Amino acid sequence: MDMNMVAREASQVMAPSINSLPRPVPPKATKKPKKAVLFFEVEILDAKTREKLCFLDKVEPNATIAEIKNLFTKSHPQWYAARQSLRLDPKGKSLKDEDILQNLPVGTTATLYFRDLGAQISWVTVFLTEYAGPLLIYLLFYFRVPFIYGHKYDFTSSRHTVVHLACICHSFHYIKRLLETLFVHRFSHGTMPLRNIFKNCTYYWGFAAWMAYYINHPLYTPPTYGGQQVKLALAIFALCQLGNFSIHIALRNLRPAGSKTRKIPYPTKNPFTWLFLLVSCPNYTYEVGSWIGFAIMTQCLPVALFTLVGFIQMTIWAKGKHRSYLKEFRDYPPLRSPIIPFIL
Amino acid sequence: MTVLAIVPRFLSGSRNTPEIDISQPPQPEADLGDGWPVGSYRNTTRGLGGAGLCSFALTQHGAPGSGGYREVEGGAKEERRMTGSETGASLWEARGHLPSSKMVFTARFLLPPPAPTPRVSPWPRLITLTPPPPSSYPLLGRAHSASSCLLPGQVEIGILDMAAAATAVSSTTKGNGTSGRSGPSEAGGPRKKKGPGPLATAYLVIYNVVMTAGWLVIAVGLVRAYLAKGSYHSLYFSIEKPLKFFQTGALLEILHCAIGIVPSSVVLTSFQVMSRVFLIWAVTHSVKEVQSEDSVLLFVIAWTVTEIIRYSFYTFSLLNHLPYIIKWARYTLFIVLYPMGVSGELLTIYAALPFVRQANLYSISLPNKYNFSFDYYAFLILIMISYIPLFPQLYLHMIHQRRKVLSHPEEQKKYE
Repeated sequence: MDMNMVAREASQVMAPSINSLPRPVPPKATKKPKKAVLFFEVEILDAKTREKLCFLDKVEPNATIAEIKNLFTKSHPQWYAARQSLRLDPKGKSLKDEDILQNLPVGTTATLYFRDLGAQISWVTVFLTEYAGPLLIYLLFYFRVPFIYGHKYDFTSSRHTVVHLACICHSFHYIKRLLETLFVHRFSHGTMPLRNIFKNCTYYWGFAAWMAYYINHPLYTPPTYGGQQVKLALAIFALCQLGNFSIHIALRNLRPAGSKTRKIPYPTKNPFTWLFLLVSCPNYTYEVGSWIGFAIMTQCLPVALFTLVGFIQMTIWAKGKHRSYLKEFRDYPPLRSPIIPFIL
Repeated sequence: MTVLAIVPRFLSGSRNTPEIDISQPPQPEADLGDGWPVGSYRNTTRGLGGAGLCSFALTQHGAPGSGGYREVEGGAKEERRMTGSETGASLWEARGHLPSSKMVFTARFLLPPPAPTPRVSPWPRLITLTPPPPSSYPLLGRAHSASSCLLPGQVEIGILDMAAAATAVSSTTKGNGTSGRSGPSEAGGPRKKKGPGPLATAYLVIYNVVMTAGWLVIAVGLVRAYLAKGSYHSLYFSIEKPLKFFQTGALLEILHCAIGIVPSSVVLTSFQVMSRVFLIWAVTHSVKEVQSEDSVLLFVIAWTVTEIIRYSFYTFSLLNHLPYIIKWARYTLFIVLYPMGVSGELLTIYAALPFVRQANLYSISLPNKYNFSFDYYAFLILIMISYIPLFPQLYLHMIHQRRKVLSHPEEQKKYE
């Protein structure tokens, strides 16, 4: 017998009642009136302690989980809806906000288990903070604000063109990201755990400071192959930025406003999107390409290390995305690799 | 009704748990009088090579870290609470599920496990409700799914092993946090587990025996050198080679985690081992002037005693005959040895600093072609500072673990 089945049956048989006896008989209060409407009862237990947290009666059968979460917030205001994870089974998957109560495998008295996801913060907030940081920090180093380099260098400017170019590229990159966060991306999830903002900001801001220190250092050494290297790298950077932007637009167009649908992305007329033929997550491919271009342009080891770490992280994400595409869509194009065509 | 969860002692790769029917309480079986509890794997499946090589250790929910090769902290947080004896629920009533491998892999370093029920011994027991099918024993090899390497591994309990508390905290949060970014992670569902095969276990036994022997050699070397010299100064030179060899050999443990024959997190184990190796090679070996310092002896003694106990603990656990004294030693001696080791390490690094500055050891300065600089002196200072948050966390964690693991001396003696 499948464990989930046992669990569900057991839960329906043995759901505790309002007066919280250890194993009381479930309330037979579900109405079966002569009228057509059949209300559900929803009981919310803590997934860890099995403590009864809330009992909702007269819940519409077509109520969504989102509505139930809002009802739950009324009795426990400290757990706003974004923090709640409701599930049918204490160790099962979290129910989606769009799920409808009557379509769930529950009886007329539904028992849901609650887990607190911890303080949440919206994705948009996190993205804006983590991208605004590098933008500003790099500029602090570029303008050689006091106390970073020696006093004689305060507010001086580098004599190398590549340093000015690097500042333009870096700033452009982060401005682009900020604008995309505000106007382009459509997020699947509204929030993420609060801890993430500290982790992410440390990563982005830390690396930005480290890279900027060396690129804007008075003792910076320009690239070995001079102008040629810089021009080539700039071209790579620009193309990859365009590519990355095109992919973001293409992904945005896949999903109508406010929805959370998932579809297979396909190449469009834009040549940059043709990478979809070979790769599941070309936005990451282009991102790595941009940073490789930036590393070649500045010939700076910290930039290369930042590129490497970013590449590793994006590969992990791309593989995860690729796997979920494969799981979700039977007809997913088999030629595609997660991030690097044919290789990774 | 005992509160038990079936947790694989050795986890690797893909999971095929036996279907265990928990809808009925286990029926008492005839005691075969061999000293093993009723219903144990041993006396129900004698023919299946039940020498414990492919053991499924029964770990009581409330007493994590109760023996076993790697202390399994009772499975995931959810399960533990769910079947906690304080709620009076028994396994079948609690609609238990076998913990998923991913749940078990959760490192809950700093979360205190719930109080153990006094009825059940935290000793590892070879009890399964139904014996696992032989086909579930995997061959050696890496069978992790790609995402499993992301998840924090089980907690490695040892003295200076636990150097990765901070990374454990961060890795648990990462596990929760990145689920948003990296797509939905699979939670729940049927749990499938396998143990390592008999070959892996044999190899691990050999590895642990060799390491125990190695550290014993170092211990004996120290004693002999002390007796020969008459003083405890500059004993490092007499055990330099075996120390380097066996401490560096611990790098294999990272490999064990990576290929899955040991259910610990690769990240945590790497952190632990690398910090030791760093001290041996990048500090003590590289800065010759500190080799005659007394602080070196301090950490060498601490490590030697710790490692001898730790490796013998693993050896006995693998062979399912863990004497209580070893377990006691592992969870008690750290109280003295851990601060001792940390002091030795810090003093050694501190002693090395002036020489590093003088020689500009391992440092690169600007300007250079790759626009990079590294100041080893500053790096060492950063390392020393990092001990400040790490040491108390680890130490307190070990204290908590000790309380849980060593909380039932009467019952443990019974099963000795």
